[in-house]
Amino acid sequence: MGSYEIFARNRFTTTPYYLAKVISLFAGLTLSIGPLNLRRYFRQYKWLARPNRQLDLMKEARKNRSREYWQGMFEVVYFLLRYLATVLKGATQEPEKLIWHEDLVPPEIIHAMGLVPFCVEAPGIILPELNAELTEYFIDVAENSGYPGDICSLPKSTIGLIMEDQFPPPRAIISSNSPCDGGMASYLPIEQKLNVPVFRLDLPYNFTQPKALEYYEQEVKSMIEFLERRTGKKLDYDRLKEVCEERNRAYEYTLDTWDMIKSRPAPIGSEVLFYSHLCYPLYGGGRISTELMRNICDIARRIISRGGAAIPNEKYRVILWNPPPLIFPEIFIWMEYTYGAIMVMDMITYNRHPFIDTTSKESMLRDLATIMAYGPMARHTRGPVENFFGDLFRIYREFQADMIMMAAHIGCKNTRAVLRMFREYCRRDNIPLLVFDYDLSDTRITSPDGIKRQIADFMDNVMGHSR
Amino acid sequence: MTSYYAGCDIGSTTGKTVIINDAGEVVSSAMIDSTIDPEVTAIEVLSRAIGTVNGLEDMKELDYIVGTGYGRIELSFAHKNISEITCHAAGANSVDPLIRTVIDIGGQDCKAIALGDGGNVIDFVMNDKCAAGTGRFFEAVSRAFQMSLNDFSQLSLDSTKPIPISSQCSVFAESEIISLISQRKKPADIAAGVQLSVAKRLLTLARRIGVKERLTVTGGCAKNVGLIKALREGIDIEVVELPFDAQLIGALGAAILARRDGVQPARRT
Repeated sequence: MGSYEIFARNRFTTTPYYLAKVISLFAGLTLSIGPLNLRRYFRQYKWLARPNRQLDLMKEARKNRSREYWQGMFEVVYFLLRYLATVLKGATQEPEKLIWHEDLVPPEIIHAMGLVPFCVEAPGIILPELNAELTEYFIDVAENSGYPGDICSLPKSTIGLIMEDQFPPPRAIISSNSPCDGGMASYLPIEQKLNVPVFRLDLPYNFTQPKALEYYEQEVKSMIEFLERRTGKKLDYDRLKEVCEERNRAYEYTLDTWDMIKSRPAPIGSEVLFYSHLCYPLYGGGRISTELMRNICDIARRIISRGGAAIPNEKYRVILWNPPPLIFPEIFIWMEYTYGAIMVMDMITYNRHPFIDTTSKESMLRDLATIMAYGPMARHTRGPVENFFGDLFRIYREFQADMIMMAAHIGCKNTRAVLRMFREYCRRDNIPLLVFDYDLSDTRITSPDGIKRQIADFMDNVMGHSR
Repeated sequence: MTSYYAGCDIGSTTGKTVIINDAGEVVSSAMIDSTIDPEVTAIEVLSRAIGTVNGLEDMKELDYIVGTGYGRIELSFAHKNISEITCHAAGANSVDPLIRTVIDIGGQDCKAIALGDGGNVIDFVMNDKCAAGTGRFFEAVSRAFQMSLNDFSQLSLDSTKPIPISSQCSVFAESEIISLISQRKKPADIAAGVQLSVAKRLLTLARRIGVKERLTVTGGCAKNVGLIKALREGIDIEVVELPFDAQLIGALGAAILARRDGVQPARRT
């Protein structure tokens, strides 16, 4: 936070401080792309202009959370706005450099080639929290265009957004076969709609085998060749080294933060934890990601140094498996004040991997390939089921958790397929497990109230929580 | 002076109550049809039960009352309300401590509950979205057969060749049943098909939490002998009949929990 941190820390100046930063960000964006372009984007891209629900959420969070923890929410929102500004600026000033990539394809290489990465699933992740109805509209657009109704609603909303021309057009698209067939299949209609070539990274099923990783490394090299052919840009390995070092720096802060969360009570958690880690798929290796991770780490450190906690009455530490319900962003705040339950780690956030060895081209490409192969969801929904459970039970112990919440997303066939084993393993180890049904982005499957009811039943009956 | 504890289970179809004394013995119970107002139902059913206990004249003389069932939130006079899942587990455990799985089939939902060694709930699943496999479904089906629920529950016992009911939805199942009746199929065989179809759905639900011996069925539908027979045929573990009215198990569990919590005086909520 630099010399301005005194403003961020002061309870009276926190909101004006971040407000000033956001205004300054938009002023800079307006100057660089011009007010008319900005106006055009806000008019054309319906998903951009709905910040009100986020503000309500932050007001609600202020009631129970410590001031610093609450500031973490500002940091995350500010990062997302900075990312968005970077994409819009790139799309306006250098549209030939805009590369769409899938959320499980980290953007470091695209970034290092001087191109502008845009994680095409990002709006589908953020929008349900801001405007569930609009998300459902885009889901319907996808289904009406022939995409199957029973697959994950994230690729469905993404397809709907693309069918409605809601993103600036790309020069090329990078996809992969991770984490699921539904996601992979979504790039076919995208390719047909845009008539832009798609490169699909092919991760082998048994990706932990040395030969499989060698194959995947070759896939990454082919992806670079594809991007070079398509954009005329060459991968500058010195630049790649800088990007990888930046990513390593951010990852150091991440690991420090996790270490602090492992102690009771947790200094931060819940959606601050989950959404801050979006910085890796969105802008891994970027300076704004490192800043976010550093600020979140600072916040956690400050809370611990004053003997504080994220919430005043931490009673239950929760591990969340699968993504949280995007349609119900208040879930964590509600759990915190109703039960003193804080989410201390989740499947997506626990993106555990070695630091990138930047000593040579080969080592960087090998480690980037490994990060992709072992990325969250990629490693959980592929290969033997041990990949799925190994992490889960390790995290449960390391983070001193009291319960596991399995978010049984109706569209995720991969994870639903192991629910029975999940229950058996948890029963064997006496781990309280809640499996709640929901859909990631569609309130018509399970409403927020329906999710609340499932959690309340579990807390009352299994955890024996008396309100 | 004897202390009395009451559990009041206000379901969508019936209101039940069980009163126990400080030794944990059941001294009274009652059951009535639910009215539109859960509190009115609860007061009425409690009054009936109190009327049969010597030395009890008024609800206020009860030392502790626990409300359960879907209407529990509305019971302003209860000291505490507890979910029916916990109450059915406690009730079943008090009657048979070896019970590890409870299938509770109520008027508008059904649940499978896994119990730990002490009768605590360790897992549960519920179907509260679909009418198939609930008391309401059986009410609708017995109407289609133009007979009482009790007669319908016996009907399938005479079946020699159950006719499978393919519709999953209770609305379509009812249409399918009417169609079979009009085709002059044997009513007992149609009824057996209905019971089998519901039993399969219930066992699928229960298998999600892992069915462990001993298993019992609670709730109003536990009195449906045709359904219990179909459940027994569908699973290779014993389906235990509890030595207590299965429809009152939730209220009994609530009374037991009332006794547990009522040892220390609490303010009425």
